[in-house]
Amino acid sequence: MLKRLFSGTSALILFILRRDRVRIPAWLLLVAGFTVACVPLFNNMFGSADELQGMAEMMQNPAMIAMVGPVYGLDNYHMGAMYTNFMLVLMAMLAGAMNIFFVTRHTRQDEEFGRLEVVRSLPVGRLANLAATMLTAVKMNAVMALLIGFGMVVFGVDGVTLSGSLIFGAAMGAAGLVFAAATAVFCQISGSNRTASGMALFYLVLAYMLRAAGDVGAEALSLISPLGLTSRTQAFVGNYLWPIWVLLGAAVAFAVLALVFAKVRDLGQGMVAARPGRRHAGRLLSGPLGLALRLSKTTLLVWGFVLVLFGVMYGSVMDQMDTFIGENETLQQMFAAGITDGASYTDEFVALLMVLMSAMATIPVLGLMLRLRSEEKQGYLERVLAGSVSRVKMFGVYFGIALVASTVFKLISILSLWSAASIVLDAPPALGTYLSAGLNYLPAMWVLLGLATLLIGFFPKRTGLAYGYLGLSFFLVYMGNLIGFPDWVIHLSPFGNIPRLPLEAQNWVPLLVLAGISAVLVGLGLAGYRKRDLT
Amino acid sequence: MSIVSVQNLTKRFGKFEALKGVNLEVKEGEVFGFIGPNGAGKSTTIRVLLGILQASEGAATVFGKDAWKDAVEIHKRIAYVPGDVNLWPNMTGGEVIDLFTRLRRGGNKSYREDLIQRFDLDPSKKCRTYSKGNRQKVALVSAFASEADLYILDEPTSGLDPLMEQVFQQYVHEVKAQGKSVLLSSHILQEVERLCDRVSIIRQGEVIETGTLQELRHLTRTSITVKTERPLESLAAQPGVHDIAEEAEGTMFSVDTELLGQSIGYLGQYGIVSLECTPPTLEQLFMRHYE
Ligand SMILES: Nc1ncnc2c1ncn2[C@@H]1O[C@H](COP(=O)(O)OP(=O)(O)OP(=O)(O)O)[C@@H](O)[C@H]1O
Ligand SMILES: [Mg+2]
Repeated sequence: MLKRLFSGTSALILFILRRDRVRIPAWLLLVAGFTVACVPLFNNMFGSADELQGMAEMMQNPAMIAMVGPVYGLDNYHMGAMYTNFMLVLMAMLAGAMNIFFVTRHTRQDEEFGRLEVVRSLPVGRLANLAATMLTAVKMNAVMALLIGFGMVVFGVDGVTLSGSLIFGAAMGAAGLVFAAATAVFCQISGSNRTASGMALFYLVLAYMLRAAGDVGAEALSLISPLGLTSRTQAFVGNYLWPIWVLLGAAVAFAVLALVFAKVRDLGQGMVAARPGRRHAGRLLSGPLGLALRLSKTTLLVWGFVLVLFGVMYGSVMDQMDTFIGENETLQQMFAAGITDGASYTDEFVALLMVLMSAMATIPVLGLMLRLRSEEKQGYLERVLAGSVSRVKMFGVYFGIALVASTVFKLISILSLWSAASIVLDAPPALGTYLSAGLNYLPAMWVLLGLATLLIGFFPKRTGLAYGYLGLSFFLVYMGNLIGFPDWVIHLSPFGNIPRLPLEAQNWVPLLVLAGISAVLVGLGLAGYRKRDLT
Repeated sequence: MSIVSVQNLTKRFGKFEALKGVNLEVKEGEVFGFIGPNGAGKSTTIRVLLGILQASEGAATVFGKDAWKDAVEIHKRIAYVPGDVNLWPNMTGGEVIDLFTRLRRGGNKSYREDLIQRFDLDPSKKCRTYSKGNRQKVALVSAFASEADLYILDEPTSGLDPLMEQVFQQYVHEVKAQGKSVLLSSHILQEVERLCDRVSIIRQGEVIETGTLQELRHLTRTSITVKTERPLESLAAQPGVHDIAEEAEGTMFSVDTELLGQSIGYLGQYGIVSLECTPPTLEQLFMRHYE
């Protein structure tokens, strides 16, 4: 009986590999290649004992800990220790994203588009497709772990041992598998592909936030986060295996749960039957704007909620920083000396959060704009455009929503950060400072939005590049200074051109230039969109 | 022997009852038609038979095996074509056909080439670029290449052009000649009339009629146009006569098919000059049930 549920799995695995013959190697190259390539890069920049000592001190900054993870092996802080400290959580997140996209693509998305209908009529077990997807994910993560494990040591960097590398790779692979299996569960309980990916990405962000709070204070929170667990391997320092077993155990548990759910649920349905909706269109649903808003409603609400949560969470650890600094002698010295001239720790932290929150808020903004393209791809737009709505109008509607949403998202995340900070801090910070520091990033967000419209206009098949550039831009400003990239490289990121407000003085020139660039991009995008074929 | 047997099948989606005690039987070697208005429950019944949906109540067996529990065994001998064929956008039609053949672990290679040719399909195109009819052909080719014992076809020709529709009908005749069974759901009544031995009509989740076309015809009325030497007296009083109208061609009326003989006898008394007798089309039969 059990065997029959899985029959045909191996043929489906081959089919998945065939379908993703470009995609899987590309992801592996990106994730593993990046992880490996950063080792010599970091070594060049921080290889000397002095530089490492400097990094060791900076890494103890609670803002840094919240950002990248806890510090281990301080008594002998070599490249290996620093690399794990700096990169493991972030790379595990990247691996998580890879797994989330992979699993939704082969399960819920295929199901939603009716592609599994015929497959299920063949002598293929009911769970074969899910099993094939999971097994392929296991292979993919294993290959990634091995590439990283054996790749990082080849440079012979001090402290980067083979055992440490293998554990580093295994931690990433195991965390990736947890996200793959958790995504499989979300795919069973949710009613649609969109909801499933939304839930999975939310889980990824939540895991990051939990470990941020856990690493700064409440350790237990880190232990229930897959990302927090990866740090606990202390790769290159303690080289503990137990977190990997815990992660693999969690992955197996999630996978079993997904299989159980998949067994009892009907194809095309969530665990809960779809309820009947409205009989008539609501008042909102009365034109292209209404339609677009109705379609974007969930994105707006969910991301609004996530951003508020994020703001509150970071706002509420603001005071922890003070106590942390009070207890730590080295930090007190650094604090007294000031990292940047005249700036306080809290200012540093606020400036950092503003970048982080702006990049976060840009994700849904791009999503809202690119909805124009996904509606087109799925053929829904055809019907709307056939009904006397012009392309310019459709474009304008989605652009308008994205533009307004960018401002609203920024406002609510700043306000929630500020509110939480005012509650926990003895001296409430000035709202004006927070507002200008945060809203400063709007022109940078608009450049990314402009890029999305340009892609829609000229390269509709490559709209994913907008997210890629967002990731790169974020990485450049978030990490670029630390890694010591030259200024011109950091300026390639729109975020890198924004005056970092509590730390630097306001400067309107770059803001206006960025706004101008974004206007040009949007203009071009619209022109391209008017002329091209809808496909 | 019955190939498909559905007894008292009920399927609920949450509170909504899509099937309410459906009974159905497809015998070996017959082409069975399954018709009914939109949303009647045809596709739902078929998906229960395929083990894609689980029955809420009742039994569905194929080849004497349970449709849900023994799905894999059953599917080795089944070929299915849905009305809405969705395929992976960046795979070619040929790749998809081969995948389906491989998953079935069987199928006839030379037959496949023959089918591709006769359905005039270009298997090297990406599925993204196929038209609706061409996607349908991919499913039809892989179904007919499979040498199954039961073909389950859910509106298989929605989207085919008339020429391809003919090719399709030839194949159905061919598999029938080989003694295989077919369950065909369709809205194209001519197709059903031409191909099917027996028909079930389903409405709002209930089967309301089952039988051969002959039997079903008996349940409805035959249209008659007649000219007689002497004027017809008290036609309206005759049993089973309805809808009388005087036209240029003569008197037109319809009569319950089971009372047809009696009516002809009655007309004979008045000296028939010309008589035209039209059996009910499936469409008329259908309309009566749909209203
Ligand atoms: N997943 C589902 N959840 C809720 N209701 C459903 C679901 N699937 C089907 N239904 C309902 O079940 C009923 C029967 O649907 P089904 O698809 O079987 O109709 P059909 O006879 O195939 O119609 P058509 O001729 O349009 O193809 C419809 O009222 C439909 O709305
Ligand atoms: Mg149907």
